[in-house]
Amino acid sequence: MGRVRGRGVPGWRLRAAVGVVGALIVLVLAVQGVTAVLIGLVGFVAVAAVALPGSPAAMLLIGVSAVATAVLPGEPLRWEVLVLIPLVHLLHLSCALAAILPRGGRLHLAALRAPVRRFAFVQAGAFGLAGLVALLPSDRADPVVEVLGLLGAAGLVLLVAALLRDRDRVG
Amino acid sequence: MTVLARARRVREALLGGRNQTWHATEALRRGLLLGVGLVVAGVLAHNVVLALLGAPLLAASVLALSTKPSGTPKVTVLPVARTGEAGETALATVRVDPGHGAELLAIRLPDKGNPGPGPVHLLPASVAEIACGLYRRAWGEGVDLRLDHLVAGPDALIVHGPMVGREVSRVLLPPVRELPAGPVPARPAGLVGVHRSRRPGDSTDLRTIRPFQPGDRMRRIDWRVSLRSNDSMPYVRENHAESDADVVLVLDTRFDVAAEIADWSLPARGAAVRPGGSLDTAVRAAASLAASYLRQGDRVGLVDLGRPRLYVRPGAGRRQLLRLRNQLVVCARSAGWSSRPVLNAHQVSGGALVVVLSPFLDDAVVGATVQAARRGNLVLAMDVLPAELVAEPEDRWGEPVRQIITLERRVRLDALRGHGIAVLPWSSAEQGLHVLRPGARRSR
Repeated sequence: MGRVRGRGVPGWRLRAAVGVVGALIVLVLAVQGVTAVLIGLVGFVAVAAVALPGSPAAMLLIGVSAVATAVLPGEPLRWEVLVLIPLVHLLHLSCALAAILPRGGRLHLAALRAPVRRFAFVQAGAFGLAGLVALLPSDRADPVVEVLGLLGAAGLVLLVAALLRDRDRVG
Repeated sequence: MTVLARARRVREALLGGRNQTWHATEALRRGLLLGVGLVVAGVLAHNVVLALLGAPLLAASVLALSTKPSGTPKVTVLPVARTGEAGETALATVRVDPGHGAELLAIRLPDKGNPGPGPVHLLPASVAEIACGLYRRAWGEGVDLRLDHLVAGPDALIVHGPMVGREVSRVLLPPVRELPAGPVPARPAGLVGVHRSRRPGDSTDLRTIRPFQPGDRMRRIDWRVSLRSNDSMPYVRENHAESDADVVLVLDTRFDVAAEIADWSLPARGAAVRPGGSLDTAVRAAASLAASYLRQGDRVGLVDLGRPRLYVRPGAGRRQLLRLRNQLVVCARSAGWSSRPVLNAHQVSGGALVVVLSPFLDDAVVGATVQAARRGNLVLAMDVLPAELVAEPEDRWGEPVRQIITLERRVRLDALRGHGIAVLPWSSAEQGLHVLRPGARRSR
């Protein structure tokens, strides 16, 4: 319970944050040697994400950059991947918030406290996972682990299907 | 379309739409589809990079969905005064009940730098009360608040709204400027008041000393004069009566023009009345004149030249001033209703002072003003057009047009003066009223 203090900052700063994060993603892809055509396409999608943060542009940008990084040769835990992990999450989060704030709106920084705390918590987990991956042997996994992984993947798909079906809930 | 989807759409229509329920956003779809897709693809393709990039999205979405927002968010505003003065700042208190599990609130609130209902503010949903200033600058009708709002769950993955809020409107009364006492008619009407009447009465101003007549009261006999007289007749002192004046303010709402001639054919942007234009000036002048005359006890009425139905009968007192200022706002709202001015004899009582507030841009208003003077009223023409007209700079005919308008107006104002009507520009009203006041006394 509380009261509003101050006028907040201009809402365009949230869109500027989307733009900065999108530009950094494009930059990371360029550093990895992605073709100019793909860089141009990703750059265009980043601009679209800034203009329409509630559109599927951010999903396209994250998907394309993840696949492009995954198919490129190199160590799985190279610095480009480690930089992309918080960047794609940040793009997802900033687009989600910018989508509910019109262009001329005003942003009160107190509203970001809970999302930033959750972001930090999730990133700590993600980097913990990356550290675990770095410790595991890189040779072929045991068949039992493979089956468990596949079952886990199937479980995730079912979970998402259930969550998406339940998305239009009446409060 | 499946039966289930059709049923869902029917349910949404019955419930008043998707916005009145908690529903998923693009961000939820993105988080779940990308999170699960990348993680599953990473597992199947033995690619750690895909799994590492998808894991935060999946984890954040699941974490955010662990708190299910529910309930119906309610945004209410405590009652605010609907009528106020231009230039004052009122305070409104908005109470927010965001429901269970809500984390963010996007709500439209008034802002100092923006006219109208203001921009949308993104706030934490934990705010229970929002104290917001209502910046009431220009007089007239307007909207103080329109609490459009949207409540979102964690990370804005599930939202309720956007809901269009109910408009909280207000009326800001035209400001009143301190003016000196203006001219009053030569024959004030009424039985009581502050102005000296021609009739005999009970004031302290001596009217005459005359011989005693049957019906005179004994206490009126002036014994000193009676003893000095040679005809041994008693003489009585007769005093003047005191009465109030009827003042009728005649507002020309048919025109709302500013100094820039190029803008005359364009509607005023973002306001019902052009700020600084002729109608704005006329309304401010009418409010100030009404206050000035009512302060000295006179009765003041209002006539809208463009809409006779908005007539206000002359009256006195503070309530009449409020009534007149409210009616001025109503007149300004329905400005431009008629192209022909209407000033009937029944709207102006005999002997009333008539103040015509107009930019005098057509002959019809001059005709109506002269007609009022011919009926025997003392008439004052208050010119409310900005002093210096500005020609359209991009048109080579701009300057000739400005000159023609200026000359036509000069002819009209001269015609008014020729009929004995005092013409006074509002910009110099303060000095003009000073000049006219003694003149009105001399004519009595």
